[in-house]
Amino acid sequence: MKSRLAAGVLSLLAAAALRQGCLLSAAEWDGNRTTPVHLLPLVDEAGEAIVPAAPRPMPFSARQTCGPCHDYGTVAGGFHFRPDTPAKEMTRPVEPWFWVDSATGTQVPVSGHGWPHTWSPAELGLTEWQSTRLWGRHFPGGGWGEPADELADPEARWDVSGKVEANCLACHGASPHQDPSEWAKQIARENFRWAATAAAGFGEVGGMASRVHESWRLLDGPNPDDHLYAVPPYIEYDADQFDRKHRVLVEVSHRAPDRNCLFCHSTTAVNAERWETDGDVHSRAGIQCADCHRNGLDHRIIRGYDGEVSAGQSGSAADFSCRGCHLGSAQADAAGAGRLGAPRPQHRGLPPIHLESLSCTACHSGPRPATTPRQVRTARANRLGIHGRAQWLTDAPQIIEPVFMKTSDGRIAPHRVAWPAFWARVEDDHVTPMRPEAVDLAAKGILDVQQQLAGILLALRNDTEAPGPAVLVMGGVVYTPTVDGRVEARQAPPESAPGCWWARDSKEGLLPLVPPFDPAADLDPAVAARVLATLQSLALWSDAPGEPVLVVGQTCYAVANAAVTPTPLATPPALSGCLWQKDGQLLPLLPDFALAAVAETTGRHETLTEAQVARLLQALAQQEQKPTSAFAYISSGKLFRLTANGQLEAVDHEAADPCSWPLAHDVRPATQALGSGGCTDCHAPDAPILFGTVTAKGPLVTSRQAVSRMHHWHGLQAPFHRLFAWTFVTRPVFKVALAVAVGAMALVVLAFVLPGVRRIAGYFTGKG
Amino acid sequence: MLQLLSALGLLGTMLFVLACFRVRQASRAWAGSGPAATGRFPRCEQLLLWCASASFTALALSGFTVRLRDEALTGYLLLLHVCCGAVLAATFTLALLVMAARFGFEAEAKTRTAYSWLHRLGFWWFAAILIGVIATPLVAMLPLAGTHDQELLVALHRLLALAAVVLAMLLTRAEARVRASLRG
Repeated sequence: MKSRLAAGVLSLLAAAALRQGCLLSAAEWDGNRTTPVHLLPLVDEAGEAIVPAAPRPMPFSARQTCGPCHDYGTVAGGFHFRPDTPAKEMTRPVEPWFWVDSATGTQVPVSGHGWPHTWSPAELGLTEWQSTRLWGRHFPGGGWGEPADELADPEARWDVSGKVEANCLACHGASPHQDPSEWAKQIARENFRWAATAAAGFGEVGGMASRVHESWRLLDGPNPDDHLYAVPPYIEYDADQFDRKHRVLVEVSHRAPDRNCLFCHSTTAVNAERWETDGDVHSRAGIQCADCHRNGLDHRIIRGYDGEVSAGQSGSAADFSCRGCHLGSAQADAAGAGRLGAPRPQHRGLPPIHLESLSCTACHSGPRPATTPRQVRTARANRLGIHGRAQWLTDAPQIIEPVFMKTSDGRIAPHRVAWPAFWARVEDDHVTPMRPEAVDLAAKGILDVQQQLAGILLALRNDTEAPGPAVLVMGGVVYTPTVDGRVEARQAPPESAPGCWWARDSKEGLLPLVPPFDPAADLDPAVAARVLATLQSLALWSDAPGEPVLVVGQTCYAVANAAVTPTPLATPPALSGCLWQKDGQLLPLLPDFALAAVAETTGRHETLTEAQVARLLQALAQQEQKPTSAFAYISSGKLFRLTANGQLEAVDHEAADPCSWPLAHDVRPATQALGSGGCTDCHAPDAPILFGTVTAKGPLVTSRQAVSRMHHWHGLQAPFHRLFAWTFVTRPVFKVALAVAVGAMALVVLAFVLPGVRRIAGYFTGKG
Repeated sequence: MLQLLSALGLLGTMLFVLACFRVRQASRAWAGSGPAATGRFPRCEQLLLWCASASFTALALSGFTVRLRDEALTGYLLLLHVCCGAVLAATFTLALLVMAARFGFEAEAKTRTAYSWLHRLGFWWFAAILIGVIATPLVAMLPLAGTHDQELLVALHRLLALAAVVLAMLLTRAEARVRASLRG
């Protein structure tokens, strides 16, 4: 009986233990440090295992494939997948997204976190669909890509494109096939549900959801009417990657490889060469991004800044800040320092106040401060890392670093800074950004001057008998069209005629469009043929405002019945050469303001001139039947608006203030830290960290941009720091004087105290 | 704890200033005669002591006030503190040279001074502590001490400064008594 009872109790205990074991889900770490081999069946969004040889297979779904072991809901709550995480949960600003439209000079910082000087997607009227199309290229899915309400945006095509699930492989994919550039291209094609499969290299994705009719559905299959253009997305799996049980070896790394992180988190100086880039000293030492930026299943990745614990992270988050590893955090105390082999800093001769007032990054991260901060491009803002024949990167937004500012914990830290630029509606001094498409109509003929010039030059290239391609020569510069419909400039030969003239770039040099001739004499047939071909090719320009004519002296040559017909003009014309004739009026091929704008903007990062801004503000007012004061253009740290007498003025406005976010990488070696050259690295009357010049940047060519000194951003007093800097000039003398004083005092003390000591000793020996 | 010590320092400074006034009152009646006035340049000695006392007071007030508010010594107050430190170092070194003989421990010194043995011992303790007070920032300015040692030096500077204030107050009070007794 007893043995039965014991057996019963034992079996109950065993069952309980077994049950306990079963409660340990596959997502929980069992303690083994090896990375499990992920030989898995790929599963599509309907939950069906993918068979590569099946007709019209579906793309794999991370939710269905990875979800059974790694709870998808928990993972998708991580920082990377939630662009709307409230700022209070993050404490420290992150880089915003930028809504960039080069044509209208728009670069609006957008953030769902609610950081200062950014706009939320809702404020700009951006839906989840639009956000995904704009920024999905550098976004690992989830968030905007998986809207709760697909019908919220009537323009959205989720039914065609599918959703962008949180893509585990975007970060953890360790296969050499893992291609984030391919991901960006698939997102641009609106092949949302196919992007992860294409990027992972499981197969080849063709077709473009963006070209397919909105009524197309996944089950409809191929488009029988179009095999070239409106081809629905499809996938052809690489059957060699599947085993007999239709499983694929998914190469993953628990710690995300650096190259995956760097696709979205690269920052590079403008015009830098790859070989010039050192990278981060930690990376050089073999430490991976994920060694410090760790996370649990919730994917709330440790960002690694001081005070992160107070931002809701677990206590151990502080161990992975600079101080945590190098000095020991408050939790781990000094004994915790040295994690991952982090050397303990010497900081010899550095007063402790520096560690209280400055972040570690102030001296150790980013470029050393220079007289003016450098301009950089970041992967997310400037579309870096998307490879192919075409360059995807953009000059806008113009971001500069390092600008030293105080963070929320009161420490000074280096930041990246970008100024907003956008057309705005102004009501009672309240500024609301206008969407680029709201400006487009009024901007026609004002902002597209380069495109107009390129259009005319390309139209002139239809004259195939001409001695060379058409160019514009202006101010000693030759303008030629580029493949993207704009123009580029090069220096004109020194012997070329001055002024502004249209020319043919021939082997003999720059020649006029039409050879010079005397209008009083009979027109030479060869010249007449040149005139005819030139005027006929000009007429092919789609935006031509009138009929092309050639005016020489007081004679106007036009094309009539495929021949050149001269017409004497009643009065000497103000213009000559190739012109447009509209309603009897003679117009230049391009108006003077357009030529001036081309001259000012070609070959520069800036795309707009003040004259264009003034014209467009007037055009917007006319278009919407409102006063000109109802519109403004924000750029370069200023708000530009028209005064009552039509002058463009630049004023300070909160909406023109820049957004900023702290930078932490690349970390420089200690020997290149600020202060390694002595106190005067920072405490000098012209030290860049205090007295560097910060000039606001934007798409507008202007001399009225906001300019400030670095100390303005610190919140420090310039006169004091200038005075303080001068004390470092006399400091060596001060140190010597103090040493002499201490030495002299010590000698005096010794000289007079020693006899007393002798007397005491004498007292004990009986000689005192 | 630091704030309590800073409050003590400030209290000591105020008492030191009061004691200085007592010395001044006693000196007026004393008219510069007697065993304490053995210096060759009494007016210079007086000027040195006045400068040293003023800079010492300014240093103590600027240093302890900031710590009492649990803030770091920065800005113009830091500049004032450093400048006063230089003045104190210079004037006290000279004052020490001028006054040392009166506080000596040799057998013959007893005939030339009215100071007690304890008073003399206190004086030399004060001098030794002041050397420490001046030497700690000097060492901190040199590329010798790391972060932890820098913090140690700052703590040492504060504690020595507190001890110096207390000793300065006691010594000044004792000086006033000596001068008052000579007047009598």
